Amino acid sequence: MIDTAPLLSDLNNRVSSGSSFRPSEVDLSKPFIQTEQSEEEDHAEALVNEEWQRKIETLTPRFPTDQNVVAIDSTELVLGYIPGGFVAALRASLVTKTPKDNTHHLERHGPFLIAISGENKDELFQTMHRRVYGIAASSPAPTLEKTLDRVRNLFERYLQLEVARKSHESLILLDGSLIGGTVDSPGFFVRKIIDTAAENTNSIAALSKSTELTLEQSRRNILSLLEGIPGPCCIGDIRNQIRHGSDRYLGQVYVTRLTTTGEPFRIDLPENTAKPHDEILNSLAGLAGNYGYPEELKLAHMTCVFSAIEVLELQAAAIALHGLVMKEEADIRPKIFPL
Amino acid sequence: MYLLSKDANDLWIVFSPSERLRLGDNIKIDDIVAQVVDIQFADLPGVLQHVLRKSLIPITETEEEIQPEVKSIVDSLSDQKVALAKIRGRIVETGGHGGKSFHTGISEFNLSRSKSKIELLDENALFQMLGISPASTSEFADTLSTNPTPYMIPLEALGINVITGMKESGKSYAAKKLLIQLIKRGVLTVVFDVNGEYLNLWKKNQNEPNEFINYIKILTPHLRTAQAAELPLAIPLNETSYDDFAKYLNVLEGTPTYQYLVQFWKQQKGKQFDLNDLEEFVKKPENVPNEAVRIALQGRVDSARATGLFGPSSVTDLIKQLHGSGGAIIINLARVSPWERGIIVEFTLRKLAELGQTKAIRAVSLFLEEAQLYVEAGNMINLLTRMRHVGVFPTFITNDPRTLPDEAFTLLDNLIAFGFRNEDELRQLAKSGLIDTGTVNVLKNLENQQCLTVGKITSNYPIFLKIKEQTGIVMGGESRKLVP
Repeated sequence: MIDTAPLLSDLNNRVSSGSSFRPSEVDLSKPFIQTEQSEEEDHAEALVNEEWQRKIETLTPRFPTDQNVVAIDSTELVLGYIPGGFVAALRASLVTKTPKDNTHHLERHGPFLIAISGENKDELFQTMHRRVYGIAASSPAPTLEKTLDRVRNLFERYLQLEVARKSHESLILLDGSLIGGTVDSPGFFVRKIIDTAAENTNSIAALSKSTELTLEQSRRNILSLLEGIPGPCCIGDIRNQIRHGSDRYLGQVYVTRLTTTGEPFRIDLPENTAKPHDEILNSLAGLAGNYGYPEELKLAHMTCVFSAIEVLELQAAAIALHGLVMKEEADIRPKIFPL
Repeated sequence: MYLLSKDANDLWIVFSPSERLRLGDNIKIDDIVAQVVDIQFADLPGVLQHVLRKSLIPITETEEEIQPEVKSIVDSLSDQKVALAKIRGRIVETGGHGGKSFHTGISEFNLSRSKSKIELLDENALFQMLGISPASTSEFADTLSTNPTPYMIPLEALGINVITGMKESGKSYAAKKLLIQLIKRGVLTVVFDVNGEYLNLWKKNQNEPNEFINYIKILTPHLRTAQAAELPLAIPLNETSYDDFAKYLNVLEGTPTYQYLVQFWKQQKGKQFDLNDLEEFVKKPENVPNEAVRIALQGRVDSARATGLFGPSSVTDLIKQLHGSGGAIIINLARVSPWERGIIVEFTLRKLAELGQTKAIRAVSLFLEEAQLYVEAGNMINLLTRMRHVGVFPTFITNDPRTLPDEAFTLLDNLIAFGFRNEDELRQLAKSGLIDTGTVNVLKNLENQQCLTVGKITSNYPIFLKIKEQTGIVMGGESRKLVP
């Protein structure tokens, strides 16, 4: 397993014993509970030239029987509120398909409890930033919720780099994009992941279910480019059509549909992948299952999100770990107006 | 532990993996006493999806790093259990000196989900409230509970008893243990042993006798000479009636042959006689002038002699002797034909009734293994309704309770039931009225040597037991293995 001990010591902070704890509401009718993570939310809308001569490539699905496929995903969730902050849980999953027997292996890190408050958020963010990126963050920690998202992102980036380092001749699937130059994802670190992967003859593919890239005239999302086009296919060369800041995109950008009835996704592939892009896209089409999404990424997501039952357990664990005291719901409206 | 809900006599109690509760446990919720009869996973919303998600990747292909402080709590909720407990009654303070007694039923229900304290009930305290003497040692059985407590059947509470359970569930083993206890208490037990299961009870091991050799006698038909604890079984002709003899040998009532048998028995009244005396009577034309009748009677005498069942016997003396000291007479029916079996059983039952009626014996216990194989319907009803009044207390041992007449269950004093899988058999047990169907269903989950005991021997409170292993006695019978 990847050694995460240094990170965990950074996360392992304490809350004063006896602090009150107001657990987040858990709707048991929803089997899994997750916080919406916006992809590339640091970015404003980026416009894409709509007039270029688009070439639509047909994909030929080929299940990659000769290489490892590794998919990485992570999740975060606020378990409950303490004075001036909250206690949250983090978890990340690495799902590997081996070439020998095509079975799936799960390496799961977490759940880890993390207490974030107005008092500790800057220190926590800076410590994690230095630990993962090796440099101090250029800005203070954002809001509490956003700090949690950044901490989770740092945790995921750390794992991505480790996977790029330890894997060989593998197809590495990331949830998101290969955009750099943001507070969340400094360009140099995304580049480091890409180059480390290439040095080890790995190929990285980053899949986004949504994107801020917008067609300049119609103002429609670039995913709409595949509307009406049948079968597994893709359109490439999109990065060259981005009007401003295309240098922050550290890979070629494709709009793809991996299966006939699947949804369109944006896929970022670095220039220096071990295998040609068309081969990687065909492999991804071979791995795609329901909704045209690669099974390994789906498994990584499904195994890291928290079930409602786990959330209740983790709330109990948070209370026990920090010596918290349960607090009644402050909202008295339901008490006054029970019907 | 927390009270979740109540439905009629059923209480549902939620408990966590760190709390111990098992089938058979008696629990006290404020003043209410309930008994755990089933344990299930708590049916939490979302648990199916939670488990299905886990099953996506086999556990053998999963490595996890969980924060150490969290590890013990992860999966604790999905492992929460719910115990179904049957309300048995309540504890009532008596006398104002801290005395307590147990009352069945509840007419008040004041339990609180959040405040009622749920705890395991000390079984010795329960026994005391039920009026069951505490056992100093667990010689017979321990209760089936989180804190097993020794239990001894109060032998004086035995009446009409049924020991039942499917094959290999431990019912015969328990019957033998009960038999040993009866011997120790100076009670005579007569056992109808159709499968030769009780023949080694006098042995310590295959070579040595045990302390019971003088108290256990095996009566085997067709045996020529006595060997160790085994004695020949013969029926003295003068101890049978003409009616029974005619019945055994298919002589129809009212026929001339029957009339001459009546005449012979009247002539011999008050005397010792045997088949030779009957033959001598038959051969004399002055006694039986009709040649055809004479030939028919001679044929019956020859048949009776051929069975080897009739002859001099000391059964009566043996019964009287062991009645005094306590012991067991095992009637070995393993190697006799069904016809002979009927004769032997009929003779024995009549002998016991006769000795009881004349008060030659005070009381005797009678073990009937698979009684349907040798006790006629009429005799069965007689056993259930009349025999106890002459001091014969039957214990039926069977692997199919449906073979016993309904009267056996309506008149039943005590039920010792081992594991069953079949619904029909469970329904039959519920007919006893000693136990509700919900509790009877627990028998489906019992392991070997575990049983449900209820009746006078438990003050009608169902007690789950684990029969203790017996040492120093060969408990196995004469079973043979197909492959050595």
